[in-house]
Amino acid sequence: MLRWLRIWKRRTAIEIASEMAYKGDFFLKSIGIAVIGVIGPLIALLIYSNSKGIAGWSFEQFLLLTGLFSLASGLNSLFTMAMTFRMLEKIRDGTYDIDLVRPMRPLSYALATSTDIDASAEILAGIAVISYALPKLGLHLATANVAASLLIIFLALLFFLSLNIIIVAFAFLFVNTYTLIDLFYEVAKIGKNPISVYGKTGSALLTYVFPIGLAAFYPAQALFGVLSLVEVLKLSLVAFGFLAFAIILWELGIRKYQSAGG
Amino acid sequence: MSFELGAAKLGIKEAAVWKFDMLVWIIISLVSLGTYYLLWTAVYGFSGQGVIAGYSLRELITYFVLSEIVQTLTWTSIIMDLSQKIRRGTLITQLARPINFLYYHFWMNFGSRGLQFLIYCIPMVLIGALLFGMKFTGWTNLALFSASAGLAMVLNFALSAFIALGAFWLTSYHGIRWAYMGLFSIFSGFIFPLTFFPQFWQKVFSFLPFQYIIFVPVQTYLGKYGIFGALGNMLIQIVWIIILMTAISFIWRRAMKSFTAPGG
Repeated sequence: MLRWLRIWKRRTAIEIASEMAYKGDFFLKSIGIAVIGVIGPLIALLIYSNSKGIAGWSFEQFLLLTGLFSLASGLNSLFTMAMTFRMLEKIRDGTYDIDLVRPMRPLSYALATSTDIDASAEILAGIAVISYALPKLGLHLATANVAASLLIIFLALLFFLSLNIIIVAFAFLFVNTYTLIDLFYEVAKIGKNPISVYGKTGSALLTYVFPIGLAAFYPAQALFGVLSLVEVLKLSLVAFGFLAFAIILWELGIRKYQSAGG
Repeated sequence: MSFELGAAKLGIKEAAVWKFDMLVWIIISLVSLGTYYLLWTAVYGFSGQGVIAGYSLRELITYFVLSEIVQTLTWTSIIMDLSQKIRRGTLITQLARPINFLYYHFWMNFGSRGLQFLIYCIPMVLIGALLFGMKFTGWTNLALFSASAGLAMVLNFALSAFIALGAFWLTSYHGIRWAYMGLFSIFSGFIFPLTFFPQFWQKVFSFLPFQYIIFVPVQTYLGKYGIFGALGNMLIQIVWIIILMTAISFIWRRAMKSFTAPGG
C-alpha cells in the first residue's frame, strides 16, 4: 500500500507539472469544466424560477443534489477516469506491454497513474453549490448523517471506478471501446435528477442495476436523515458487488490481451 | 463544384466508418429523451401549469428532440483538428496543398454531418413523435426550420473556426475546446430554451451569435416567430456568418505571417 501511495504521489506530481507547462490552457480548461459543472445548478434555478418544481423537492434540495453530483463526478475524474483514456490509448498503440512487466498488479498500477487535476474545477463547483444550499436548508446535520453521506459518495466513486474498469476490460477484447465511455457517462447523467421522478421501476434500476443514484440522490437522502442503516448497508453491498463484477471482467479480459504491435 | 463534392464525399466516407458510434449515440439520445420527458412530466404535473416559459410540455419535448438534431447537424471538429495540426506542425502539409484548408474542411464536414444527420434524425423523430408526443407544426415551419438549420451549420462552422484560430497563439487546444463547449451549451439554448432565462440575459444572448445555432432554428420550427420574423432571423444569421468569415480571413493572414511548424 505504501509503495502504491509513493507511486501515486510521484505520478500526481508529474501530472501537475505537465498541466502547469500550459498554464493558459489549464486556466481555460478549468473555466470550461466549471461552466459545465454549474449547468446542473443552473437547470435547477431555471426550473424553480419558472415553475413550482418537483413534488417533494424544494429548490435548495434540488440544488444540493446537483452539487453532490458535481462532487462525485469530479472525484471520479480526479482519481479514476483518466485511467480509462490512458489505458485505451496504450492498448490501441500496443504499448501496454510495458505496464505488464512492472512489479505491481496491472490494475493497481493503472489506478496509481490515474490522477487528472483538470477535474479540480468541477469539484470546487460542486463544493460551492453544496456550501450555498446546505445552510439554506437549515438541516440539523447529525454526525451519523454526514458520515453516511460521505460513505455513499465513496460508494459512488467505487461505482464510477467499476465503470472505468469494465470499459478497459472490454478494450482488452475489442481494442476500441471509446463509445462505451460515451454510453456509460451520458447515461450516468440521469443521476443529476432526483431518481424518484423515474417511478418505482426506474428508481430500482438506478439503485441496483446501474446504481447512479449513489452519486447524488442517496447522499442527499442521508443528509436529510431519511436513510436507515440497513439501506446504507444495502447500497454498500451493491457498490462492492459491482466492483467485484468489474474486477472479474478485468481479470478475464486481461488474459485475452494481445499486443497490437508494441 | 467537383472539388466541393469530392470533399463532401470524403466526409461521408469518414462518417460511415463510425456507424456503430452513431447507433450508440441514438441510444444515448433516446435515454436522455426519456429522462427529459419524465422530469418535465413531473414538473408540469406538480406545477399544474399548462405553459411554462412559453412552452407546453409537447413543445418542450419537441424542442429537446430538435435541439439534439440541430446539434448533430451543426457539430464540427474544426477546433480539435485545426489546433491539433498547429500543435503538431502538420498544418504545414495542408498549407502546401493548392486548396484553402478551412474551405476544404467545411465541405468535408458538410458531407459527414449530412450522413450523420440522416442516420440520427429518422429514429429520433419517429420515437419522439410516436412515444413522446413530438409536435408537427406544419410544412411552412418545417421549410423555414430547414433553411435556418442549414445556415446554423455554416454559422457554427465559422464560429468554431474563429475560436480555433486562438490555437495559433495558445499552442494547446484543450482549454479552448472545453471553455467553448461549456459556454456554447448554455448560450446556444442547447441545454434549455433561452426563454427560461430572465429578460436581461435573453437580451444579452440576442447580441451573441450562439442562439442562432440552436435556439433560433428550433423556435422557427415551433412557429414562434412567424414567417417574417423567421426570415429576419436568417438575415441575422447571414450577417454573423459574414462578420465571422471576415474576421477569420484577417486573423488567418496575420497568423500565417508568424506561424512556425516545429517538426512539421
